[in-house]
Amino acid sequence: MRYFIEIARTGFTAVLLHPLRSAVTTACVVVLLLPFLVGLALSQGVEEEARDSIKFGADLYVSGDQFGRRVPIPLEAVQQVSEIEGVKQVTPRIVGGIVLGADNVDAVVVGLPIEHFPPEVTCVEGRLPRAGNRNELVVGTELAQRLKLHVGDLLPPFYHSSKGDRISEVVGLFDADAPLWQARLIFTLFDTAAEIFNQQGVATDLLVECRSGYQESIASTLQRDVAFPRGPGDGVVRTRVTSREELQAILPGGVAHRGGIFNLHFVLVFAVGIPVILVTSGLGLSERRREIGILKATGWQTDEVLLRNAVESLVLSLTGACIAILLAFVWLQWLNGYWIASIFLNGIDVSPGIRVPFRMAPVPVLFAFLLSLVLVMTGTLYSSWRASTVAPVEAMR
Amino acid sequence: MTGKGITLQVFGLLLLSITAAAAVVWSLGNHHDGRTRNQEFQQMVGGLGTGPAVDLSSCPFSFDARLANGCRSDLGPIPGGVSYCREHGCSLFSCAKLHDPQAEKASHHAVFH
Repeated sequence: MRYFIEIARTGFTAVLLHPLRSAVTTACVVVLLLPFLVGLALSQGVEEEARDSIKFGADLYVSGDQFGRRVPIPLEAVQQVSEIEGVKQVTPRIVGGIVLGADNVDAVVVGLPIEHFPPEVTCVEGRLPRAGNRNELVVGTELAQRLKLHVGDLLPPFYHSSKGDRISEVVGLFDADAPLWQARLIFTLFDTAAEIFNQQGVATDLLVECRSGYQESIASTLQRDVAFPRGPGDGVVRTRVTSREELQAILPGGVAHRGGIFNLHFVLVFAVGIPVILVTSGLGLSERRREIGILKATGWQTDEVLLRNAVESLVLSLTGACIAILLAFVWLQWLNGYWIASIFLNGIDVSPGIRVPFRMAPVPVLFAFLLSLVLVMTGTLYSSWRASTVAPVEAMR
Repeated sequence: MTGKGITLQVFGLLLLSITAAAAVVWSLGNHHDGRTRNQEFQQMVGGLGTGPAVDLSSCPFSFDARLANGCRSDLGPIPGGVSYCREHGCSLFSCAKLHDPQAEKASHHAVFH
């Protein structure tokens, strides 16, 4: 054992024998692993928030369907769905996209009836919209940042409605720590959203809360038996039902999720990484060949040389992986994913106005370390083996 | 190299590893405030958002899988076909479809625009 420890000690020594080579190899590992770790952490963060979105959302989402296409659902459906056995509550909702301001900033309008609003919220600075002469809006942080909106600001009419255009007032701003989907959100009353889109009497979906044990029967009744007339000559609108379980099933998870990530990074890491590390850590480095030649001439065996270089590779890859993990953490936690978040999360500014969600799970982190070990080992062991299998005189030449 | 130098190197490496492990554990920690805020927000809006997009401009499916059946940029079973949608974060956020998306992919009016 002592014999192996002594050889391992020389591996540590080798790291400092060529400080420039060690630094460049570590830097290569960091450069390769950093975007990989940041991307993984962001995707895990988004996934966790998406799970909350499904968990705390409705049991069933009902939308309209005509010829296989999603269409708005008439508000008469609320009454019809409420009468199905086991239905606790039906809430119509409008979700739609609009473009605002001179810079054409995309925003998402969500409208819900006032009865659905909670009495108190902490995720909004200001208050929730109320019914009145003005349209009252709660605006997402990124949108407010881009349009320079504050609580109390008045907006001139930004839409055309058959009911007339009205001034809107910003009554609240979402907290930056709220989920990322609040970034470009305009949250308002259902009627206000209907006016903004000039779509009266329809909703994009119905949120259905079910009594325990009734969810499946309600979903099948809705899909089988329920249809709504859309208007004279427009035929009927059938229902399309999405359950919580269906949504949970489609969330990226496990192997398939990693597979997607690997598709991207496989090409980058192996196509660029191995040749780079091969060059920086061994191939073409005459000093390394001479060093191995001297070791062989003084009685070292090939396996001892390889063990020494394996320890050296382990130290370099562990250092590189740890630095990459720490940099990824600093980038996401303290720099709030500055610039990199806008690459992975489309629509987010370079300096995000929201709290960027991230989660560094142990498995991807261990995978990153293994990847760095494979990279450095491939770079150093092959060249060391080549140098140690030739005659010492040849290696020292 | 002296024994002291190697000891320093080992300690440095250990410190680096422990700090990295601490960062991972911290990021995994149960951030109670964040969870409460998420719950409050999601209950208020009735469940919104499942993907990496923050608006509906080019891929509603990437904003919320409940709003569209599939990605309109999904080029199907060709290598990297699903990666061409810029909102899927280079396939990092690939997500299975809810229903058959063929009809919806042809439509640009799946949600209000």
